[in-house]
Amino acid sequence: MTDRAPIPPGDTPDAAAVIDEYFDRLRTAAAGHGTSIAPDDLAELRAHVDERLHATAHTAADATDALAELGTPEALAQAFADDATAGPQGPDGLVGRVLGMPYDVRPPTSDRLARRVWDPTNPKILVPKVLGLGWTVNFGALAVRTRLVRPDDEDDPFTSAGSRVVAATLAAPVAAAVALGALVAATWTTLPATVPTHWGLNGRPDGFGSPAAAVIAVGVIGVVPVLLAAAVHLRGRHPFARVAASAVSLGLTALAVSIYAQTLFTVRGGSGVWPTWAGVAAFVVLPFGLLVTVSRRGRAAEQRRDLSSSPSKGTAR
Amino acid sequence: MTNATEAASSQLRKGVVELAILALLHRGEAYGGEIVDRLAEHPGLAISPGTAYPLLSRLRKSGLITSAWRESPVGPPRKYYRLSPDGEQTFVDMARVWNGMKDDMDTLLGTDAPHD
Repeated sequence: MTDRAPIPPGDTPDAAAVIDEYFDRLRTAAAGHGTSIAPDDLAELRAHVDERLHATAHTAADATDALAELGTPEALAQAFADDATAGPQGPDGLVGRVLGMPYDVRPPTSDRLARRVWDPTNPKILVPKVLGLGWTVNFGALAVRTRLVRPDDEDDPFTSAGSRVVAATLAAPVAAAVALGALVAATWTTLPATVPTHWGLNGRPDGFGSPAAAVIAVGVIGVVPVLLAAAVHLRGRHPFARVAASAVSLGLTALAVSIYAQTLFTVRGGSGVWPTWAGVAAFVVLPFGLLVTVSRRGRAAEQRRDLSSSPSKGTAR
Repeated sequence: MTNATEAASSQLRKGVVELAILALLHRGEAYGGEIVDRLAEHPGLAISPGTAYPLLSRLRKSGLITSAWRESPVGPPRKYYRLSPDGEQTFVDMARVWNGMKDDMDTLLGTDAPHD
């Protein structure tokens, strides 16, 4: 806080300096919450302080007293940030709705991704995407709906399962990516100069490209997410974020395998798009299975901890 | 109720329901489903599981309540919640705030507020 140095009465520049410092800290703290306080709100806060100072000598001490009423700038910024996230519109319009569809164009984080794809306390199965327009599946709600888990089974998702289980989840998408790489390596030279890259609902290809373009697309969908998931693991993020990253990348790699398999299938004279449908199913089922498995292991670990120990013991966090 | 009324009353209930859960746990430990059911006995306080579980999670993270698994006489084990010492203190403080607020609100609303 600001020093209450003995200031001669009427020395207004000092009061102004104290107030300016407060508002600078407020703006900095708001930025730290990824938000900014609207100019109207800032003007109103200043007007409030000015009014409080009206009958005083405008010393730095008076300004400090008036500002104390608002709390620390950090606490005030927190309150504004809470208010901003409570409303439908996020900071600076980066989050919101267009034509009834949710959108979010903030840089995605592994924590936010985790909270979207696994929130068993939220009964909504479709939740806003972490990045882009539309919805994504809240596998936690799906698991509660199918009675595989209860909303409060785990105190903190995926943390009780143990670090070995958490680390092992990365093996699933890595294995899928290796399988994808092996499949591409084994078949890529057999592809003709032009391959189908898009299929209509009737199962007939309606878009074509070079094999290289097809392989690059499959790599972007199937390998890049696994590298990102590996980075989340290697950077020692929270188990929640790590398991969610494993699960989401596993789904995307399975989808990439199916897209490539679809290309091979069509090139070799197959008709229909069943490989794609199998991929779409795997895109949902595999992450779901992984997340539910880890969550249930976490629950089992919590139960072992509580049910074997003294029955009156609680766990605080 | 209009959408605006709905949003405003849900804001109003959020804080109150938090105190209601602390009051409930002050009387003794309870599991999630039990908390939802017992609040539902008071129509003004009834909340959906979708509201209750995030609230319980937040109370636990802020250290006001603790959770522990217990064997259930029927079916699988259940996770029970109880007040921590911090939670007991917070409950006492919040109850005091509530009592002051309740009287003040009654005075402020006076006869303007419809009772039904």
